[in-house]
Amino acid sequence: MKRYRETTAVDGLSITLQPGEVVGLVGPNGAGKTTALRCISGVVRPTDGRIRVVGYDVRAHEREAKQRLAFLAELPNPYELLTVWEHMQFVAIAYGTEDILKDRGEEILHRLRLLDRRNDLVLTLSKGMKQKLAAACAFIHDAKVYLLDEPLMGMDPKGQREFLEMVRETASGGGAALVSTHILDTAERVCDRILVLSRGRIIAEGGLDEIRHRAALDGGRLEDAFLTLTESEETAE
Amino acid sequence: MSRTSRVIRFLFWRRTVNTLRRLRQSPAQLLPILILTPGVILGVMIAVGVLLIPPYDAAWAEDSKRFFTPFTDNVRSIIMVLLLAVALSLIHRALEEDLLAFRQSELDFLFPAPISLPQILLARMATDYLFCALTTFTLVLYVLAPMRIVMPSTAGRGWALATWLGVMLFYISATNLGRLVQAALSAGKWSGLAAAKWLRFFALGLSIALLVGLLWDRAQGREPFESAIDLLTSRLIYWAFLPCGLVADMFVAPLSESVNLGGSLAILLATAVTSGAAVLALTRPAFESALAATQRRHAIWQAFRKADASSIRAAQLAGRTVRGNPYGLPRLGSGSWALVAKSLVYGIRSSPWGLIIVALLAVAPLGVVPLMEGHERLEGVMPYMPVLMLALVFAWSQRVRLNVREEFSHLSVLKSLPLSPFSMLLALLVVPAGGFSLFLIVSGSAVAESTSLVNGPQVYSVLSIAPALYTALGSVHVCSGLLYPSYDPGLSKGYVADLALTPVAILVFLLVAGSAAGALALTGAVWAAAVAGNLTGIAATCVGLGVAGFLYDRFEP
Repeated sequence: MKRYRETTAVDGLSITLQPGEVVGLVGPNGAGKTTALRCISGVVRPTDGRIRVVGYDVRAHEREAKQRLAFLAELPNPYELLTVWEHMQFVAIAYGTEDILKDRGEEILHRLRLLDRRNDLVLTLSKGMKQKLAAACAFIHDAKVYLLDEPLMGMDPKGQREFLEMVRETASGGGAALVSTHILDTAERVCDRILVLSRGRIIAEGGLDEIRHRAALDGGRLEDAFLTLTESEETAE
Repeated sequence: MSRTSRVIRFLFWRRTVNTLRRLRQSPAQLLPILILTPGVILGVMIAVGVLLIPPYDAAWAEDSKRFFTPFTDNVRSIIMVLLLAVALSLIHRALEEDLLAFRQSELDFLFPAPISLPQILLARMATDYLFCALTTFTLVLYVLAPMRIVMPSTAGRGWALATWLGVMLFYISATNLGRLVQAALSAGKWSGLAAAKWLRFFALGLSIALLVGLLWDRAQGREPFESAIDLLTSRLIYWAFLPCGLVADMFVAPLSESVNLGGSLAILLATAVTSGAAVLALTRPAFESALAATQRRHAIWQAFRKADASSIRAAQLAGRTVRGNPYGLPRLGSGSWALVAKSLVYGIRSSPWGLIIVALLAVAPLGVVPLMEGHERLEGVMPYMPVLMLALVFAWSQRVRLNVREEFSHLSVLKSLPLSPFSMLLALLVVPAGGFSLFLIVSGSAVAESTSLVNGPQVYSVLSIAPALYTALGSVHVCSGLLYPSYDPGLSKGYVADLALTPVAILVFLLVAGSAAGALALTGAVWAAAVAGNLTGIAATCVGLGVAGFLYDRFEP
């Protein structure tokens, strides 16, 4: 649970990610998605409850837990006065993975089409390119859990496809990802499991069929189920 | 070397190198720095030199000390008030949870990394302390150097150093205390916003009470400023605000034998170290309290980059409780009146405290001007009041550029409105012109009515033409805003935009003010000056807005 004075941002949230799993976190604006991801990443502390990452308690063993996490913030702001490569270097130093930076960093930049901009200052990049850089930084170290907050915002379609492939590859390699997104098509396509969050609580959880079932729909897309669930939640409130 | 310190050093080093490289490649940024830096260095060297050289005439120095000793309490009181104001403003910022913030990049990339948070906090605090040391060094230097010139023998080198350290430690202690308040607030249930509001009321009430007290003293036949100084030098105030008192004592140490510089420094050092350690002990609450402030500052910075005043204000108000009025926009009429109503609502809503302070400033001359009577130098200013008012109109009308650029950032809305460019641009001018003129008319009338030292007809002539003069000047600045709509924070474009039409503005100013002055000189009647000034002003406004309308039609940002 995370409470800010009178406001309860996240309440009774229980998420377990299995290795190899990509889980989507969807919900209307202000549902508590970003707060949930910030709590798991150790940026803020939950008011109540425990978070464990690969067996490490985020509160008691913060650095060990963070070492196994990769967090991509919503609308990230990379350091503008570093070059693209220096930014990768900086993140590699922070995670202690400089030894693998040369090969891995270049490969990631190549895949996200940033390699030719490696010596440019971040302030010369467009919004989408900054998003790609932040995404690239998330893949520099061998994280076990990826926390991705609106990762596709501002990315071009090619970048989006490449990024999602990287997420799937990571999952195939035994990693797990929790992806917060408003793009329901993507969630439907990429995620193995979906959590629907509303007013800080999970109101539905499971694969697409289970979500449809929970929304009492026979067929249709995730968008229909999502709208039915969130609207009925608002009406109930 | 720990991983955290490597990250911090890497960031510092690479960003510094890249900044210097970027400066070298950007003449627009490099030139002002090359021009300003030698001046700043020279100023600092002169001030340091003044503080370091031995007294050149010991006898004169003793004379000057004897001359200045009676003013010890005055100097001490002024410094005490300044320090109190600084401390109160820091606490106020803490209550609004805005005193400790990080960079948005740090929030996105450093906070989630497996590095030591206390070390990041320590680095942040060390950077702030360094900045504080440099700022206080410069400020204190420019205060102490003149003091050293007039009292050279007793003001030794140690005094200058100790006073600078004292001011620095005082500022650091006050900042640390504020950060503790901010951290405690974020960890607890209570919001500091209500307390911040009460603090503002307290400061406002204190100022009004002080002014009323001074006027009361004067009415009783006493010297009002002496009463204020007696209050500020009382033991009660000294002990209640001990750090302020200690620093104020250090400033006047050369005039007072009783000040123990070493002892004062030791107390201030202990306060700074203890409060700093307490902040570090509260690493987690300190970080979490900085999250909202970091995001708010980032939004403000982004708005500054766009130079859109309304976005800046909106970002500043984000997270605060600003309620709209339930009745929507006031109904002033139709068409372009909607723009007037919108500007009015926006102005009131974005800065209610600013409006209260402006209203108090407008009537302040009723209390302040009588206090100035009897002071030769202050009285000497009074005959120039009409000229000062005209200068104020000229200077303040330049704010129209900001308003216009702000409105033009919503051009897609403006251009789609079924309004003629002339009436639309006039509507944009009405609220700033009306607001400023109202302020000037109230404050100018207050000055004219509270003293016989000003020339009444001249003051009222200026006040009668103020709205027309402001609007005429504003129409020129609208043209400037249309010619240079993109106000890049880089210096070059800003200078061009501000200077381009200044000669035209001066010409308009001379025409309107000159016609009113001529009419007053010929007839001696205020109404004649008002008619001449207003007719010229309205004509100039029509021409200005006509040109602006032409530019607006072809305007594509």
